[in-house]
Parts: sequence; C-alpha cells; structure tokens
Amino acid sequence: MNTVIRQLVTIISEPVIENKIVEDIKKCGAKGYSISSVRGEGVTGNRSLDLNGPSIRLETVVTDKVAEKILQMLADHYFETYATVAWITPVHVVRPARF
Amino acid sequence: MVASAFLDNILTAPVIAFIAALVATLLRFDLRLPESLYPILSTFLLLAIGIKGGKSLADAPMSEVWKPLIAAVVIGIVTPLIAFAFSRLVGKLDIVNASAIAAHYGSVSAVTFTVALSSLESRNIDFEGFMAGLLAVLEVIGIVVALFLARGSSDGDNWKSALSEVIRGRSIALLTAGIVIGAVVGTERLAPTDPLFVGLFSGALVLFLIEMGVIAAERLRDIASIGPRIIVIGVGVPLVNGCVGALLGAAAGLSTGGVAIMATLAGSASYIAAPAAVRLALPKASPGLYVTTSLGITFPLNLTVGIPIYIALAQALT
Repeated sequence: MNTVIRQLVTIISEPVIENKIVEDIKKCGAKGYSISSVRGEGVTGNRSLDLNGPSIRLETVVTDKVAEKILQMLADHYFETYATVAWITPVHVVRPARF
Repeated sequence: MVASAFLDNILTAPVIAFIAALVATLLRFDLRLPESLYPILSTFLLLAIGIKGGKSLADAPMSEVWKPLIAAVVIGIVTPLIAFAFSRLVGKLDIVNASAIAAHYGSVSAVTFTVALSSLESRNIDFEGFMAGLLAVLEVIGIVVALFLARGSSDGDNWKSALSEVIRGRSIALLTAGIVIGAVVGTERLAPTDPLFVGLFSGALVLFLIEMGVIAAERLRDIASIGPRIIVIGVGVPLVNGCVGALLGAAAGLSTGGVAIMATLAGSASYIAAPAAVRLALPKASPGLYVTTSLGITFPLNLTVGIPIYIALAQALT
C-alpha cells in the first residue's frame, strides 16, 4: 500500500490545561488528536495536581509544517510554565489528506 | 467543653479514617484506593450534598435565606483578602504566590464542610439545610476575588479560561445539579433514592477520607522542603477566617449549627477547584506552595482541631 510520511507529535502535560492545549494545537492546524491518561515522573516531578487527575498524553499526526508550528507554540507558551514535554516521530500513513 | 468537643469530633468515623490513613501513609504503608474510585466518590458526595441542600432549600422561605446569602458573599470577598494580606505580611510571599494562596482560602472545601455536617449531626445540633447552596456560592467568589488581586500578573486569556474552569467545573456543576434535583423533586418524591444518597453517604465519606489521608500525607512530606512559613499561613489563615465566618454567620441570624458551618466554610481551603483555576490563571505561582498549605496543613487542621473550635465559637455566639 502507498504510504506517505507525516509527523506524530506527542505531548505529555498537566491535566488542568487539556482544553487549552487542544484549542492551541487546532489553531496550529491539527485536524485531530487522541488523549490518554498516563503516569510517570520527569525532571519537574510535578505531583502537585494529583487531585485533578494523572498527566495527559496528547498525540496528533500532522504535516511537517504544522508539527513545527505546534512545537513553536509549546515553546512560546507552555514549556516554561507547565510541566510539559513534546517530541516528534515520523510515521507512515495512508490517506494523507486526513492529516 | 472545647476538650470534650474536640474528642467528640475526632471520634467520628470519617475523621478517624482520615487520621489512620495519614499516619499509615507517613509510615509508608500503601493505603491508596483504586485510582478510579476517587472520581466516583467525589461525584457521589457532591451530588448527595447538593440533593440534601436542595431538599431543605425547597422548604426554606426566601426571607430566611437572603441574610445568610449576603453574609456568604461578604465572606467570599473578605477571606481571600485576609489570606492575601497574611501571606504578604507574615508569610513574606510575592504577589503571585500570595494571590494563589488567597484563591485557595477564599474558596472552600466541600469535604471539610461535609465533615462539619456529620459532626453536628452526631452531636444533635440543628443547622439550616440551605448551607449547601452557600457552599456553591463561596466556592466561586473567593477564587474570583483572588484572581482579581493578581490580574496584573496574569494575561487576559488565562484569566477568562480560569474563571470558566471554576464556574463550569465539575464540582460546581455536580453540586448545583444536586441542589436543583433536590429542590425540584422534593423530599417525598426523592424517598426512593434515599438508600443510595442518604444511606450510603457516611460510608462513602469514610472511603473518601481514607484517600484524602493518603494524599494529605504525601503533601505533608513536602513541608520540609518549602519551609516553616507555610505552616504559619496554613494554621493562621483558617483560624482567622473561621472567626470572621462565625461572626458574620451570627450577624446573619443563623442557628448555632449554621454559624458553625459558616465558620467552617470561611476557614476551609479549596484543594480541587482552586488549584486548577490558579494553575491556569497564575502559572508562575508555585503549586508545591499552595497545594501543600491547603491540603497538607489546613485540611488536617480543620478536620481535627478547627471544626470543634468553630462549633465552640458558634455556641458562644448564639
């Protein structure tokens, strides 16, 4: 099957800002996303928001351009103030128009 | 009298469950309940508190409600200001962190409220049923006032999303839904649901407080790293606010139980709605500071020592 390369952007962040991040990645051009609850520890070791639920992992498959935009947006508004990490993985997709 | 009131308060199932869980966790026993239980229990408790308040609201004439309502609004405005001033002057915090603390102490803790109710019930002290409605009012006002104090340090967008987070958040929504259900359906027609919302309430509260004990113990461990000044804030602010609440409750003409609850509400600190709102509106404030103060210090203090003091105050004032 013919596949095309797109970028999988994975963001781990705090549960309280879920709605805000979703809104922001859509503004960057993401057409869809999946969110799951995850556990773990990072350099910030931030357990302060226990009561609002576990950390979230947001995944979205987008074009190179949108991926770049999302990372820039995170750098501008999230990395410094919220316990957030993000990375990009190239993935092979069919139906590239969906992403 | 305070000593016996103190014992009466400690020797109730929710408080003992809380203390046992707190101590066990500090001794590194694993008492954590299954993760999914926490949202189920909090949903149940908020709905049940709301329904209970709604039932009494349906029976209370408006002429009885308006004075306490005004008192609640005044408390919602005054308590965060006291917390802010205290944090600035005594705690030496900067404006952002002092505002974050103010949001927590201006808002209220539904669990502390519930433990106060069960403490009053176990001692056969009557109280006005519509207090649950005031709980919903107070939960919001305090946070709004506190975020207003820090409006210079937060950008406009975050401010708005934080406000909508509080107002549309789960706790207010569930509480309000419960109040509406209780008020509209009425005591008689709700009777078939009593086995769930009334009968299981005390047991669910015990389970919930085990979870709270575990979480509070985890926060307590952080005190050493943050420093003693938060102990001063965590102990001082609730007691001052509790006195303010008792005075205003008495001025509003509430019964002894009502005054005790008003004092408890004023003296309690939020640890669910406020942290979420503050994280959005004031991301630069330190969560370690405000969550530890509210959950690690004030919550256990109110549960064990605070509530008996507020009840004794209420008895002295009415």
